[in-house]
Amino acid sequence: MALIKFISVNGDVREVNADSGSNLMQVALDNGIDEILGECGGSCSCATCHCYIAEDWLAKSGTPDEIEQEMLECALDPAKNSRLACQVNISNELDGMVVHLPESQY
Amino acid sequence: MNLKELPFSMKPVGWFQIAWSGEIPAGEVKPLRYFGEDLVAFRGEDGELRLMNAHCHHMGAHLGHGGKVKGNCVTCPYHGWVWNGEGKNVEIPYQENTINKRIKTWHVTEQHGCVFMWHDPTGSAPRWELPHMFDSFREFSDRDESEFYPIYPHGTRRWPNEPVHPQITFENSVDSMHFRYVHDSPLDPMLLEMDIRENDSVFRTLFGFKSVRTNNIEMTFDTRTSGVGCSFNVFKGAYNYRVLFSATPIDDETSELFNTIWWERKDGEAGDMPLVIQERIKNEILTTVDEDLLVWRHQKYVDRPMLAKQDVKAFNMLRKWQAGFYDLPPAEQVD
Repeated sequence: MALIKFISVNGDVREVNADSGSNLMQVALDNGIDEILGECGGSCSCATCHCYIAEDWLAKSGTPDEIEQEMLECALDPAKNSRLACQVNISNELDGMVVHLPESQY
Repeated sequence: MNLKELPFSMKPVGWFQIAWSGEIPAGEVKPLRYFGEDLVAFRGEDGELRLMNAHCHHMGAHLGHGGKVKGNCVTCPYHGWVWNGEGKNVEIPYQENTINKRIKTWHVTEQHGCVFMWHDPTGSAPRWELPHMFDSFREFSDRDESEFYPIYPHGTRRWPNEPVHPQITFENSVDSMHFRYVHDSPLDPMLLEMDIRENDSVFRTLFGFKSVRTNNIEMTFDTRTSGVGCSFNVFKGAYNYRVLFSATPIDDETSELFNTIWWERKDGEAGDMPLVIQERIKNEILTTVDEDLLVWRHQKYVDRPMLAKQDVKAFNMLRKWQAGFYDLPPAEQVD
């Protein structure tokens, strides 16, 4: 179990509990985080679960593989700390992780 | 499919099929139209095929309609002006001098009974070679052309005027799940291997069909796709036939599709394809493209498809590679 803190563009903070073994996209969808769309269902083929991982959590959240990197190039306003939420696996290590949400996925 | 909505043009670089050798015997001309150009192909008395723009520089007559082969040149049907295979005017029958303006010529190659042209908007000479239906597959299946029935005419079919972009058609080469739905395949082929080779000109996949009974892979097929023009498919196992599928732009809105089947001879048999095999190929093998066309004709291109997990890697790799066949800078001249 990990507590994830989602922060919207307007500063709203929503804290949710995430099960280990799930992924960040599923956690967002299950908890009504509307900024995450996840249209392809987690195949890493649509880039509509784009989010920004807070800098100090970046290393723990893992490194994007080649396919994710290519998909991130198509996301709106990608940054160094961009990730596709469907590719971030939840573990106890991520307890307390801060995730910034984009203004829009398109 | 509305080709004008596509994010890529109908002017890709590469080799494209334009005919079968058997369609153009020595001493004959054939009018053609590809890439928005009126073209004429003619085979000289030396047996060599030539391809050039169709219209005579004199008054614009089409050399492919009524033009006649004279030696290794073609004679215009309008006033008898004679043009050679390099596009040079070699004779004006009723005056002594000739004109200097040349007709544009195109590189052609013929192999295993099929004719291909090289298309390159920069006018560069061929940048890579085409796979060969026999020589390129020796390691996979070492059979010679003589072990198959002649392809022309019974192993060939064309779809002359389709609203389809060639690039779309080659997405089948990584699409394992369409076989079940489009072609009624009883088994789902498994993508076993995938790589890009021959200086990036060939995308190669190896698919396997598992037997339901034994659960072993009973048949495999090796596919080499050259650019966005042609795919060479070799089946090995229960069946051992070979298929060339080609798609060639006619203009900005339509393509011509070609299908060629090499069917294995029965041991020691010579001569042309027996009638019973002709019928089978016509009714069962050369119909697969009809099935694909039901989808392709009416498809709306999805730039960022919602792929299933198992397809993401292959589709992304294929589309990224396909994007490399457009808007190439002129090839560097080798001194």
